[in-house]
Amino acid sequence: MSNAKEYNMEYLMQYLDGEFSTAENMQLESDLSNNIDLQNQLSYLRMAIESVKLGGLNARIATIADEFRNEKPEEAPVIKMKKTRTVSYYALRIAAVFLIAACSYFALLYTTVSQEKLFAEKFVPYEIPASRSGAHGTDLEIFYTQQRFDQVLSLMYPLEDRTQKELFLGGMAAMRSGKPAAAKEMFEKLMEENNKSQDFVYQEDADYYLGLTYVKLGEYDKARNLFLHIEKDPKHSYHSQVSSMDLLKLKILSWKK
Amino acid sequence: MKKGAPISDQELLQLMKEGNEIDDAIRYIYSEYHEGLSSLITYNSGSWEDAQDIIQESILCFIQIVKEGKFRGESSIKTFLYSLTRNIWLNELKKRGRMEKRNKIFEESRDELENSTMDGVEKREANKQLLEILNELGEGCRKILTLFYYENLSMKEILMQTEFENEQVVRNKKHKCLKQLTETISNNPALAENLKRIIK
Repeated sequence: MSNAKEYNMEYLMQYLDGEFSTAENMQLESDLSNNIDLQNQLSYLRMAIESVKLGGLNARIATIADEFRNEKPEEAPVIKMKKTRTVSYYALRIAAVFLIAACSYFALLYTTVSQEKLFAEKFVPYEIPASRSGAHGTDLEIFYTQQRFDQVLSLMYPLEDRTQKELFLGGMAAMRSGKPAAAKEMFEKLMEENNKSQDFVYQEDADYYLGLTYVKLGEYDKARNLFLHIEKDPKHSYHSQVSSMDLLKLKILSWKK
Repeated sequence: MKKGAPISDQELLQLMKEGNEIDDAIRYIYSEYHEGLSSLITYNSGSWEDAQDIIQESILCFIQIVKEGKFRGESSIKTFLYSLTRNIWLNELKKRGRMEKRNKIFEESRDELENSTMDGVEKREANKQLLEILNELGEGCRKILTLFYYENLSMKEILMQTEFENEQVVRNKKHKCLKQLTETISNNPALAENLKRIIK
């Protein structure tokens, strides 16, 4: 390597960390131009530094994601147990009582939970807000408001011609007239259209009601997936409608199937 | 950046390019696009946990693309981010061998833009490999290197955030950790090749 001096990794680190004088920089850059090994060594070092920066950025994203997900309106207070000499004895007794109670409750839940009951508990008929219904609505909206669901469904096909709003109302009309398979088709079509257009119209309503449609059709894993999405997102419009107990019931229904 | 105030794509890109504003940019992306991106995945066979992981990976790739000047603004940020997330998720589904009929239809609906975001999918794969290597480095090394190279803290500031005896010990530790990482990369030609692709 001609007149170039021997460089060790520490020396190259100092160069990359900007700790060199102008003269030292010039010397190194001159040596780099005709030393492939040195170029490679420097290149690997640069990769390592850029990797660290990328890892740092990834960690920041993860932290912000956690903050975002934890932005709940109210946090449950943390209750600290007072420690006493007999705490383990009483704790074990209390735990045993709770365990027995929990097992009994679970057994009761297992035997009593049913598709019909869960659906009835969760289903609330969707009503078009007053300002959007009435004389100024489309035929489809007017039929829906008047609960003439068969007429609504007669206007739905082919689904390709329907707007996202119409697909949602069609899905609701199908649900309310006892046609869950048709409701599923329309809600899924609505979500497909939303994915394509990336304009998430009636998305949160569809999350909830498609979940209920899956319950009605006995597709409990799919229902649970949608309900889990709602339950985990405190900003979802239907967040208060879905509890962890509902998720447990869906899991039980899936086991019983 | 004022909390909750809408900002234009241009302003968001500017925030992403300026290192000290990147947190605001990430927060804004989460507040604006998290719900839709999450639905995109949960509706297409993904769990809630899948959605959180994929969104995080997608945002990381997007920031890299912007920083490299490869986001040309031919589509909106929203459209690009959805396409990127969709491609990353499809790729993940393929890897898991869980491509259902509905997802195949979803895949076939790709447009020109989506194909252009495939670069992001490659980045995601390389990023995963790289983050694994960083994890193997250990918590202590990761912390000191991140504080120096990502947070741009001086040795004195790092000393205050760690339990080392003095600045020289911090400096030695940092050198040792970076050397270890550099050697891991140089001893793994496949990894080095992948890194060349994701690092400008």
